[in-house]
Amino acid sequence: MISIGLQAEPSYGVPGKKRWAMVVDLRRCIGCMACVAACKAEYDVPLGVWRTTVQVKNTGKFPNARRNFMPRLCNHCDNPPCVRNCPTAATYKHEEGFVLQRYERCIGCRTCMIACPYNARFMLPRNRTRVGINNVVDKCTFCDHRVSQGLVPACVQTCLGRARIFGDINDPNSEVARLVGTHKTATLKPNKGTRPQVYYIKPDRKSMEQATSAPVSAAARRDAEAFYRHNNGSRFFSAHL
Amino acid sequence: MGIQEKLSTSRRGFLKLGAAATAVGSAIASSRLVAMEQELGGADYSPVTGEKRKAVPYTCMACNIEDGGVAMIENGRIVKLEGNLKHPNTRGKLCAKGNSGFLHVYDPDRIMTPLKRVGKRGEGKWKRISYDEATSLLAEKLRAVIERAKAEENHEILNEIVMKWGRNRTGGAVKRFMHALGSNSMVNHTNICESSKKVGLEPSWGPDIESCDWANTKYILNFGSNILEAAYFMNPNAQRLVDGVVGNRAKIVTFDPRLSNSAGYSHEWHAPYPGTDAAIVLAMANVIMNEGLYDADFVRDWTNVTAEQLIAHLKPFTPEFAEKESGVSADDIRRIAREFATTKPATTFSYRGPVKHLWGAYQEAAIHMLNVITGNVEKKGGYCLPRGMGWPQPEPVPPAGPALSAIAKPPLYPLASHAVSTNAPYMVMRGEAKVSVWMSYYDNPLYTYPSSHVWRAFLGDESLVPFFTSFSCYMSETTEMADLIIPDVTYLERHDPESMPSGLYPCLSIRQPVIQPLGGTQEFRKTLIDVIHKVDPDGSLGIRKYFAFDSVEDWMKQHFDNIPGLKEEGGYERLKKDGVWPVYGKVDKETAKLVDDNGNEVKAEYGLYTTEIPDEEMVGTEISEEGTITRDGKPIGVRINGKNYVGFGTPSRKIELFKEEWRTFGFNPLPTYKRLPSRDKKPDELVLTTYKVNVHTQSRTASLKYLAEMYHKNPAWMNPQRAARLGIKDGDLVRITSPLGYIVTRAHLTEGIHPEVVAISTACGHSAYGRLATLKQRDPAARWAQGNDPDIANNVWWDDRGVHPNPIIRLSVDPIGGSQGWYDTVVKVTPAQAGDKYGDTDVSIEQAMKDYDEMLRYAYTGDLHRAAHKEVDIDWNNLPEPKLTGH
Amino acid sequence: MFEYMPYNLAPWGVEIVIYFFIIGLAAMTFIMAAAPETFGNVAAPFRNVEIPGAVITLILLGISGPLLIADISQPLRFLNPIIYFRPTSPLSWGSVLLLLFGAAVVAFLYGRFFDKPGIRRAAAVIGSLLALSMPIYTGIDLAANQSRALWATPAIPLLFVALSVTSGAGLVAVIQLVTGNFGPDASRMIRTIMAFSLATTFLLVFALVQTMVYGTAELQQAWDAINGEFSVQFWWLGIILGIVIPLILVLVPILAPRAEAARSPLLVAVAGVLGALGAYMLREVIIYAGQLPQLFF
Ligand SMILES: Nc1nc2c(c(=O)[nH]1)N[C@H]1C(S)=C(S)[C@@H](COP(=O)(O)OP(=O)(O)OC[C@H]3O[C@@H](n4cnc5c(=O)[nH]c(N)nc54)[C@H](O)[C@@H]3O)O[C@H]1N2
Ligand SMILES: Nc1nc2c(c(=O)[nH]1)N[C@H]1C(S)=C(S)[C@@H](COP(=O)(O)OP(=O)(O)OC[C@H]3O[C@@H](n4cnc5c(=O)[nH]c(N)nc54)[C@H](O)[C@@H]3O)O[C@H]1N2
Ligand code: SF4
Ligand code: SF4
Ligand code: SF4
Ligand code: SF4
Ligand code: SF4
Ligand SMILES: [Mo]
Repeated sequence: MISIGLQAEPSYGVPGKKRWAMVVDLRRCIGCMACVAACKAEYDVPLGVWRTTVQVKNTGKFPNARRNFMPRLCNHCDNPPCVRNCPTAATYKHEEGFVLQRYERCIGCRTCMIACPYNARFMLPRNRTRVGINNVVDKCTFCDHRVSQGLVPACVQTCLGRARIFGDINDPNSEVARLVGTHKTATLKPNKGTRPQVYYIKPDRKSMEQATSAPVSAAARRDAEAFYRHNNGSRFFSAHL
Repeated sequence: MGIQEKLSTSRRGFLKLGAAATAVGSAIASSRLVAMEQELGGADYSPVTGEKRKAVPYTCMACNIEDGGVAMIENGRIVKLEGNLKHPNTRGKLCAKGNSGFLHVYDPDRIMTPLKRVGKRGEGKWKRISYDEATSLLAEKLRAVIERAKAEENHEILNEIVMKWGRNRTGGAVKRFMHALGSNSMVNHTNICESSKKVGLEPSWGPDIESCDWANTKYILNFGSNILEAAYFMNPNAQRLVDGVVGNRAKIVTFDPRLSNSAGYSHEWHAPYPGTDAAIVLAMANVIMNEGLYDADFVRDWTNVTAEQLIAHLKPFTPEFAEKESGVSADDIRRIAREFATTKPATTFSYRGPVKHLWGAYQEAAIHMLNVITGNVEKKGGYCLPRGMGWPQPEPVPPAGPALSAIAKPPLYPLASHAVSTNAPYMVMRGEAKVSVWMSYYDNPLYTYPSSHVWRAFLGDESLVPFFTSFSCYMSETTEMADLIIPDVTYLERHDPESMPSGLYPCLSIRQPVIQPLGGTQEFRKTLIDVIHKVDPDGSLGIRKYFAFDSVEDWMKQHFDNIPGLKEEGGYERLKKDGVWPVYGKVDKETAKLVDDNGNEVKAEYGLYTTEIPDEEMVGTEISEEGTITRDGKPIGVRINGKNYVGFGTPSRKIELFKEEWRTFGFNPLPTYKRLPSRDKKPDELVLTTYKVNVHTQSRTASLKYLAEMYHKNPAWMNPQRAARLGIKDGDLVRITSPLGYIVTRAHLTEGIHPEVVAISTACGHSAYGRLATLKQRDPAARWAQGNDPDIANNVWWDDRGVHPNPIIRLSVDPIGGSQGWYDTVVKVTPAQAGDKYGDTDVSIEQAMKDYDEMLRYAYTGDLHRAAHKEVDIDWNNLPEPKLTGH
Repeated sequence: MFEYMPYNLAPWGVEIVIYFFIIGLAAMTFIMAAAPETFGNVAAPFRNVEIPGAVITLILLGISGPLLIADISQPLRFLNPIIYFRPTSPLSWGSVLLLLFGAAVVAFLYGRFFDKPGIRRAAAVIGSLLALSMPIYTGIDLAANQSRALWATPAIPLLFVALSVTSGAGLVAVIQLVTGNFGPDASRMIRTIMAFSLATTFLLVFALVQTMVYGTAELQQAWDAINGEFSVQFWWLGIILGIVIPLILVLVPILAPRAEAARSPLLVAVAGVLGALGAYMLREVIIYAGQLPQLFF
């Protein structure tokens, strides 16, 4: 059975159940990064880790160059491997589809990070500005604390292009359900069996490819090197920063 | 433990709530067949405790677009910002800078106390003093100037009190202060900003900017505005641009030598040679006029030119000519001209790209003309007038100072209605103006100005600037040079009145302290009140009465309490609650349009210039032969086909494509194209361009950690093929040399740039502005600073802070618009030489002084001006004399 | 703006590699140390490793436990995987099995020192089964991740068993050599064991290489990494030095029974050490290269 190891059964398409989902309309994303900043502020997300990001990539040759933006966040998979593999049930799936963390339980073994095909998870460093939750794994929560109060997530709230749209995909009248129903959409790595619940509209080849490609420019590569240097010189998790 | 307990309770609470929400949701879904969509904002909760955060409205000033915001406060700390849904143009959203703005408040290197210099100027040695001591010291210096002016019976001495500002959103407070002191020496920053755009527009139709109806248009021609990253009004306009392009299927075509995000988002990107936009635009106008695609009625009725006149004027500007100048193909120019003229509604938008050149004003005037000849002005989906609102100044208002000031408005630039601030240090160094007290507010010329090293030399010289006070809350490159620092508070802790024409719905908004100013810091306007009270303690100088405010809040009340309409709704108190007025409606959850309670769209008004003058107001007016309606000699409208309209804000009340005043000074009265010196550069040289990025504001956000993390270095963009010819590879160290000197930075090779151009952004490469901006985040905090942020001290992972290009950018002033030609510097790019280190900068003051002289030759009295304007029919030997006008 | 990359770290670093190696080594050492007890006389030549083998196992466990605890970011919560046991998590199982294995080793030594044959026997059998689960669970830890194409194959647990057997045999050889008990019977047995484990390793690695060469995009990326930054480690240290040479060393006496010199116990021990080194290298390459394809995702 597919739901082995989930605290909540997959609910996509199950009548009478909520299933929160996000649609990212790539036609509308202007790469403004408002979502990234809003999310950082909402959770006091420290430097060096991200709950959401927007990748930027140029393609083509002068004068036919173009620019692509690719917002990324946790897919709140309906069949999340991160949950299945967590040895403590610190990460769990809520019945409305959120994949969440119990910080007080997490041992920081990073198995969930290994399990997630999307790099959606990260280890919180020792130091933050304001919030006292450290040295455990964290991730996008789909802003469950806002959603449960009837609000959209913080990144959706501020999205300038209205590229991020949030709602209950099981409700046929919701905007997300209508968008997914009437547009060509894609999810990331559907072959991993995770049943991602972040849907991309107008996913051209370039946007999807850029989601998995390494930095090409020297500028970005140098930054990557600085990033690893900060991590005691290693690309592999090394000491708890 | 505490957190864990709180966490688990909130989770439990949430599970219950979640279940309840399901029930409600499905009940509604079945009865209304409309989803119970989530609210778009207006409230926030702590993710840790689940507690509701306090929400206080304010107006954003992380950049100058003045969007409406709501601050979310938890335990007295601002933890989150979001857009104000009641603001009709912001519609609930903030950009990345706006979202990060609260970090200004908690910047570890924020100056928390007034400081008096104890070492040498610029040495960085400070003594902490109280606000009382600081305002007394400044008052004493000001009073000395006033007394000297009195003793010597010379009003001009009063103009030695100078106030230089970058951002002044005080609603007239600075002017009131300076006029109260009797000085007219106010120096803004507008000529480094976009002033030639303003000057290209104002004489033609009144206001200094357009307001495009992005959401309803079908075609957008964008000239050098990076509207999705910067420009006025980035956030509101970007939102509507996307609505227009995706929702309304509008086409967008962008001209920019560089692939900005806006260009990258456009359906077509064309990369003209820098400064050749006018050639392209005039060629488009040529096509439109000659192919009869223009709006004949509008041109006839509403402009001061005839179609024939335009056709004759445009004759030389063929698409082939434009192709030769700009490199954009004649076929594309023809095709786009036809598309633009035949797609309705359509609009252009432009910002600094075309205008920040020598003769930038011509380029803006040309772009503006495209809208006029196609009749898109003030149409739904077209090119509209800006819509703002005003507020009264509390009486009594001080009169202007008694003597006109040269530094406020250099006399050689009579058409530059927004002055020529770049010239200030040169004028003082040349003895054309004198300074006793220099005050700097929200301004950082040592970083933001062209040839920025000149400002360092100028402000560092005590013989030129005997006393220098800065009102900044951050230790910027400029503030470091001050003798006295009286820190302001951040925009989230102070009062300002605002009204920005950032959309089609005019509104007022305010800034108010969303928390009490931290650490006993005091807002600038309170400092001004205190200083005036100390300059004139007993009222004997007659200036105290202009600052008879108990508090800044009292001052704000006087602005807002008596505005008709607002007064009835509660005046200032009402503004405190909503942050903005009027509230037009709600933001529709799925269309983002403003809707009323019934879900119907709140319609914007169009065709403002066709508002008819009521008959009773026509009484006592005169109508000229051309139809201009005047009262007491002042134009108030225009009669066209028997109807009396208010028209446009020009003397004829029509759109004045022909600008007689320009001709008076030997400029072409019609929009024209002048080949720039940079167009004739040598083949091995490049044109240096500079630009802004979406996540930074000018000189002031390098200290905001979220933004610095996203963008912290600014390598020089170069086209790969061009770079290969120069032997430069991606990431190489390069030396960029202009006549002023050189900088050493890195090359970033990208297909997104014209081969003849090298582009370096601003916002990086600080030599001051705190530990994060200079990447000294592990240093201990200065004693005057706020303290430390453990996140910054430990988690900053990047190690490159960029290299600032301004030291090698040459002074270049548009003789009409007064604007700095930011994109005119010709440079050589070479691989770095042995011994060159990243960040090395070596520039010459002598060359900068030569640039000043060279530049004056383009002013209307200069020889190069005459040489470039042979076509203008005027008595060149009897040009008007330069006059002082600055007040 | 040039590219803006959300830079990521690969979650598992050198601590995990060492842990996996040590735990496998410990497990197989124990199996061999307990073999006379488990299998009776067939394994008689290992009799003299019983005590040193079990003690060393215990020491290795004493290193690997704290290592694992130090690697997690909340060391004080190290019991959580047991307290909040999750049946779908290999790591949860691993924690339980590890504890039980430790207990079995202790019990074995107890039975040995206090001469309780019943306990000794039971601890040997159960402990050996638990020991077998060690490399298997660490392998499943990797194999359970669909996200890591290189790992997501049942061959990985098998490979880890084979690698552990090689390194365990190597350690036993060294123990015997050091204690001066490396007789011809013992060395023949170790040669046989190593011949099998090395050959298995070789075949499994060969199969893995096949899947990479013809594999999905991610597998090809892993293949590129293996042939790029890890090529020395993989080909020279892992395959040549870690498999081929020891295989030759252990096979020569079997294929050429008359080559007296080749039968020297010293050579077996050398082969064992090389095999252990190779086992470490291959583990590291697999753990590292398996994570790299997703570094920028
Ligand atoms: N994110 C952000 N937004 C801002 C600000 C900020 O600091 N940050 N500041 C605000 C202020 S003060 C201003 S003035 C505006 C400025 O807003 P913009 O004018 O939109 O932005 P800039 O980056 O100054 O310049 C715009 C573009 O001009 C291009 N350009 C250069 N030369 C030419 C040319 O010859 N022709 C054409 N067509 N294009 C050319 C550059 O490549 C650049 O992309 O932004 C406002 N909004
Ligand atoms: N290379 C390059 N240079 C440029 C540009 C470019 O695109 N490229 N753009 C140009 C343009 S368009 C402009 S408008 C100018 C802008 O340049 P400036 O007018 O100098 O404005 P800011 O950089 O915004 O800096 C204002 C200063 O105000 C201070 N400050 C910040 N917050 C506060 C506050 O709350 N209160 C007070 N009292 N002070 C505060 C800080 O010291 C800050 O450095 O830069 C120009 N310079
Ligand atoms: S790091 Fe925390 S959440 Fe992730 S698998 Fe380990 S215990 Fe679970
Ligand atoms: S995206 Fe990753 S972290 Fe999020 S639910 Fe899916 S597997 Fe888990
Ligand atoms: S849903 Fe919330 S947590 Fe997730 S990316 Fe958006 S703002 Fe961040
Ligand atoms: S806020 Fe919206 S438009 Fe801006 S980058 Fe994020 S997803 Fe794209
Ligand atoms: S554009 Fe961004 S920074 Fe500027 S006022 Fe609007 S929200 Fe604030
Ligand atoms: Mo500006």
